Amino acid sequence: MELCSVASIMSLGYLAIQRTHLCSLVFRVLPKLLGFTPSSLKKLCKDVDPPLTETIVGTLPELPQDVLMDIFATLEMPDFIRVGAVCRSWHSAYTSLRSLGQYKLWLCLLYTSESAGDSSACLYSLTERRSYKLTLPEPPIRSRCLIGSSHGWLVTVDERSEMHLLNPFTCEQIALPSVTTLEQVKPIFDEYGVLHKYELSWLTGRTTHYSSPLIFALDKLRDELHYKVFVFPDTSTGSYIVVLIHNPGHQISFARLGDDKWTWLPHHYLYCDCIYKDGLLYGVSITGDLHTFDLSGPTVAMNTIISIHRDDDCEYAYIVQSPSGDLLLIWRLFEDFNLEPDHGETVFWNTTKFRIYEVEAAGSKLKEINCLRDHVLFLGHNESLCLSAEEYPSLKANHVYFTDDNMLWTLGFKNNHRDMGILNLADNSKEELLSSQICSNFPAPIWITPDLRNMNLASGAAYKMVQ
Amino acid sequence: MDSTADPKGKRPLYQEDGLAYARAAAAAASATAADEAEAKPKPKPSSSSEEAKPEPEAEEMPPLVLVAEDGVEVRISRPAARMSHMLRLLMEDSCADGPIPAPNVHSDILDLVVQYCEKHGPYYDPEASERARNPFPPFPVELTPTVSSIKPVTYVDPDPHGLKDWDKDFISLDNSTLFEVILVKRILNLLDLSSTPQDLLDLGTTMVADMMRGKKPEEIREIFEIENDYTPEQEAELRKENAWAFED
Repeated sequence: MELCSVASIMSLGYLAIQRTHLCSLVFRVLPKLLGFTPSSLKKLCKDVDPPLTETIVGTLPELPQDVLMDIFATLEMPDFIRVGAVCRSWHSAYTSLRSLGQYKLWLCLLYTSESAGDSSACLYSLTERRSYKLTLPEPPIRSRCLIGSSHGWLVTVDERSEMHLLNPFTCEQIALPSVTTLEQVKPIFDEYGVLHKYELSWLTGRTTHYSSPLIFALDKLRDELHYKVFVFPDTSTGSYIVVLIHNPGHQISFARLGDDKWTWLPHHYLYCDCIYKDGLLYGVSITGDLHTFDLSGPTVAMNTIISIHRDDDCEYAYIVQSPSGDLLLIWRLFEDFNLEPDHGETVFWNTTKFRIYEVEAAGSKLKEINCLRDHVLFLGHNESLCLSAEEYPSLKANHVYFTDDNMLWTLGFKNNHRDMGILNLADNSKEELLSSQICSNFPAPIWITPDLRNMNLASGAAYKMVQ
Repeated sequence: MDSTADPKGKRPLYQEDGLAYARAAAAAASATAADEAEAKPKPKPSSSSEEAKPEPEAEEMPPLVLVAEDGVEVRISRPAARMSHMLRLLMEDSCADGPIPAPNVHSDILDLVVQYCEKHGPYYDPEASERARNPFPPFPVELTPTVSSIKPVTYVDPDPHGLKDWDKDFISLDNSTLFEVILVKRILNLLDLSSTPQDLLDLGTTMVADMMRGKKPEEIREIFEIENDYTPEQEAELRKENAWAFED
């Protein structure tokens, strides 16, 4: 960096020779080294070339790259992209920041709507309170289920019940291992040898007697099998680990990018949410257990951190890491629901409350928290996020921004009203995110944190890029 | 927050080998030990105290004289000069007694920057600001926060000296002046990689960032008087990537 070299020049060269002239030297030499020279001021004066001793008229001095980068790093993504198109020097600052990934994290709601078309997705910006439209690659996004969103990747399930990673901004798509490589799924071929159905078994590894498997059409399997997918950067390999929570029983299977099959974690089930921290996969179950899985060895080692047996099951669990590094467990309560409505009425479920616990560092104990202080939670099918409201002034502290990840909606309630909104933890009041006129119920809206960078495929990884 | 510590102990977060050398060279060749002690930045009251009295010793020291490019002399008092890392360095090295030339800086701009420093100088504590700026320093932890510096969430910065409002008025400058101020303050802050959050540089850059939000590139060019050095074809190509951000 410039500053380092300036310091060394200043200290070694100049100090040694002329300490008494240090002051004037510093002021004369350094501006030149930093590129702020009289000539750069003159550069912008096209017609008029006033002597610099007079007040600068008309044109503004050029801001150097490091100042531009400091400014751009505070802008939200749409603004960040727009300033990159202003002129060449601004574009240069923009591309530097982008390749370093040092632009500000932008959280928006990705949804679809009939009016936008089958291959378009809309992004709702919480700050600007407006939506942007993105065109996405085939197959059409409105024909897919959205079951995950992590680190800029959307995870979709298409009409053949196959999963893909999709970056809506770079339009990269990566196929995940086939659904038939899961333990519980067998392909069924017709008389021509073409795949036309799937068989789903009840295998969990917890018992030896199972009911007979069921048969599903290609696009119907995804209504039964898939729940949530997470994409975690794996620092040891420089690639990603993809974790799938699937039925029967919300079990976990995982794969590394480049694997050709899913690896099953048997005997454990009922998981709601996962995170990956310090090389361990944490899974929180609906029964209140927190388990860790060490995926690094040839066999997976499992450990139980917390075991609380909860009886209520109209609650979903989430696990998230706060900016300060603490682990939080969150329970989402649906106290307002009707799953067996009278004729003429519809099924509904509504989130009413969240209960938040901090996992004590020593492990095995939970401490209830009544107030999130200045943090904000984003929950749903996405990888759960906890942000500091101070860094994101448009977000409301002590609020939970949630979307609908209830498994009920896949069981025949595809077009149901989505249970999503902003909940104030102080008084449990709710606010609507987007009117249901604007956003379609299927695929369900999901939070996304965009990544503008193309994935580095230089490692020659074996994953299939879908054109 | 112990500002009576030796200035060599009060380091910026990132050590510059060159800076260490500079300090060592300065210390070795300094005129008298007493001189050095007097030129040291005086301990300042913490930001949570109500009254900030200018230190009697600092008042006795004559102000620094900065000479702008148009020859006009602008004086800056020593407490105010501490807001510039560069000037602090010069003061500690006892190089600041004569006139300090500031070429390429017009006296009007220099005047504004000095005004800002004079206002904020007495309440400036570089270490407290660093912790406020980065309460969760990267691991391994390089700053040990004292209990008083970790603010509870309900902490409302008391701002007893009305600095925030003053800042708001101060920074409402025309674009040209604003840019100049940013550039000058950046030079003055030179080598201080842990510049304070409410520093004039950040104030200026935040102001500039606010001007960019929600605007289209054409509007930004107009506001900042920037020439579009792309041809229409090049610009269209540029906009194709992330086209969504440019649509209405």
